[in-house]
Amino acid sequence: MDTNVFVTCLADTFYPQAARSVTNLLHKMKIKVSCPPGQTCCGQPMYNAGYFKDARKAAQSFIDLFGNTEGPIICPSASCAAMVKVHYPKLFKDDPVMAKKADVLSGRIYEFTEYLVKYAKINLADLNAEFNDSVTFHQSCHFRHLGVTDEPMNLIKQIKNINYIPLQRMDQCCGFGGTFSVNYPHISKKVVADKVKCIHESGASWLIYADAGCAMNILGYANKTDQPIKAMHIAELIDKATGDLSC
Amino acid sequence: MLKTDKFYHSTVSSCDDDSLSLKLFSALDRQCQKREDICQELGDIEHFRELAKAIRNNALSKLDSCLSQFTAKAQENGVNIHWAQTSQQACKITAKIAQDNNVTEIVKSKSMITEEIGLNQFLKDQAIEVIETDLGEFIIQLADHKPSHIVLPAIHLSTDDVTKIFQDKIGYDGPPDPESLTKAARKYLRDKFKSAKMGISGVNFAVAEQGLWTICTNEGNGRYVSNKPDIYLGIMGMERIVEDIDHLSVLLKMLGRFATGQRITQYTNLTHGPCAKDGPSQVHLIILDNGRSDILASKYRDILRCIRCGACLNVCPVFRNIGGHIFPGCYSGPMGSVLLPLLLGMEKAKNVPKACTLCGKCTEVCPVKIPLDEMILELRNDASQAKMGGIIEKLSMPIGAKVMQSPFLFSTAQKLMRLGLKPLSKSGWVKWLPSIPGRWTKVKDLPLPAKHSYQSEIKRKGSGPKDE
Repeated sequence: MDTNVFVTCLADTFYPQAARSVTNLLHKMKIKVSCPPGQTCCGQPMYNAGYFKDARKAAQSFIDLFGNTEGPIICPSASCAAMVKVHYPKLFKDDPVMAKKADVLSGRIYEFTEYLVKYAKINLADLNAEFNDSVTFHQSCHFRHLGVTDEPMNLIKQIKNINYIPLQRMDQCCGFGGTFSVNYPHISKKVVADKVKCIHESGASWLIYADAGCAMNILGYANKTDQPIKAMHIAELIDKATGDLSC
Repeated sequence: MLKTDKFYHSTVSSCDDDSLSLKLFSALDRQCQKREDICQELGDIEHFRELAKAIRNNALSKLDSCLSQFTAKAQENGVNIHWAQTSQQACKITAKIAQDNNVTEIVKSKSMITEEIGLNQFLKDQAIEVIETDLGEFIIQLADHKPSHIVLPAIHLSTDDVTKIFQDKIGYDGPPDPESLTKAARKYLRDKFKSAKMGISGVNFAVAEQGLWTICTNEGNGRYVSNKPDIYLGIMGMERIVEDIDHLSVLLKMLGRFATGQRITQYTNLTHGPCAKDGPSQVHLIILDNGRSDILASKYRDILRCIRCGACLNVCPVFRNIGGHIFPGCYSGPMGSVLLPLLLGMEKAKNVPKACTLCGKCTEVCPVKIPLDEMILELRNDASQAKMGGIIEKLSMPIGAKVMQSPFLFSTAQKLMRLGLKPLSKSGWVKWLPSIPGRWTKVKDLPLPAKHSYQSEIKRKGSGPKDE
């Protein structure tokens, strides 16, 4: 079935390579993929700040755009996927027409690894995935809302020669939290400091992340404090590991 | 707006204290591990969480009939029931019981509800001394601190801290180890148990069918407080009730496991009422509303399922760094962030729900499945609707929404952001920004937006294979 990529505003702006890797990989899997033009943001920043009315406006645009497409919507972010899947239906619970549309999209959205494991049931070994270095993985908080647990790690472990080192407190928040990070920068700093410490203690050469928000936060702190971290999105890792197109 | 807030300022000082987060991290990691290990024994923990949730919902859905069945039975058992609408009333009732019986010294086991109503201070003002008998509470009473955690009140203190407090306050001259310190506290408290004429405890759960209630402790002090003195007073929140003993057994199983990683607490007392031959001759129970009826009638009623296990505090990445002292009430962490605005009024606690990353870990571990992160969001929305959101947010959110509604404005904003940030950046990072964005760059660098956004890139080159 045809698929659609929801780029997300942060990946679109700061980490386009994540979206590019999603598309590349789907091509390698011989899955038709399109990227509906005119995408903006799912509305999560307003929603999380407690401005539901404004969030509804952004969500309406998303629903209008993707409501006109068919097939799974794949998104390189657990938090944006959770916004659509879990929060849209609640956001429109008092508007039956919109609620119905939100429910449909809620059933069609997939976080990238969730799509690969649960929907496409991929085994990366079949794609001859190989990566000759050590990696650790930060489990984004919003995987929780999606009911995703070990899926990303299982994907990583399917890659030949990879040395996967589990991160201590891997599912503890990185301290981003949207407006939280500017409302309480000092708390955010302490939370991310622990994350960066755990990443360095893992000894892995690469940090693999699944959300652009986490990446901005973790890497931004690491850079500020002169303890740089080499990092890439999990889609990039899998794209790299599966090599050039063989088709 | 935030910067003038007392809570906000306290978070700054807490974060400056690295020793606090160090203590919290190691203690709370240990608590979490214990909980995970002991929960594993139950097999399908989800099944038990669902069950516990249903049991709490059941009681809340017929709270009026549960309470009348409970009070009728308890009165039959000889218990004096007192209803208190407010904290003030509960304190006054307590003082009157003490004064009517010429009590000047009270022994008390650990109870968050007495913290909620400010009982110790009230009684002190009436010249009635209250002695805390839970070890953690005893320590912080000596140090004149408030509990920093609803289950582990002295978690902010190290063994060395406690040794110093004991030396200063009760003339301790033993070694700085937990066992010797506990022995010293035990000896000190034993005399108080003997002399006090009145004991006070909270109530973990009341059971409607039998008209009895439980106190769960690990030190046996709850047993002393409720049995040794001639007068025993329990104080309960009106929601802390279950229908029958079977329901109680499930909740006890959950409370021990989620609070302290135990199958059940060392001592689980069931109080029936006075006893002529043994135990107190007078037993009183205060049932406190203090805003709970309003919560029950609101969209936040699920928070009344809370069994005060503290599991949500233990996993909270924010709590681990700021501790519980700075919250504007006795409850802290995720459950406190929901309860405090409801109990104190939004105005007094409006910035507390904002101190949350919405990571959802609290909701994941809650034994009665309270959607804590969703409630925190809902409270933020209530605050913004009540125009308590802060001027910057109030202005920026509608503008943000406008931009997100228009692909043209969105891509223009992306381009402008890159243009504006480029001169300020070095090797792809922006290290300094003024004003609100400066709150980010003060602690973290900001990546420079990519030269071309993904959408502009595919517009130019298409999204087909080999588009690099």
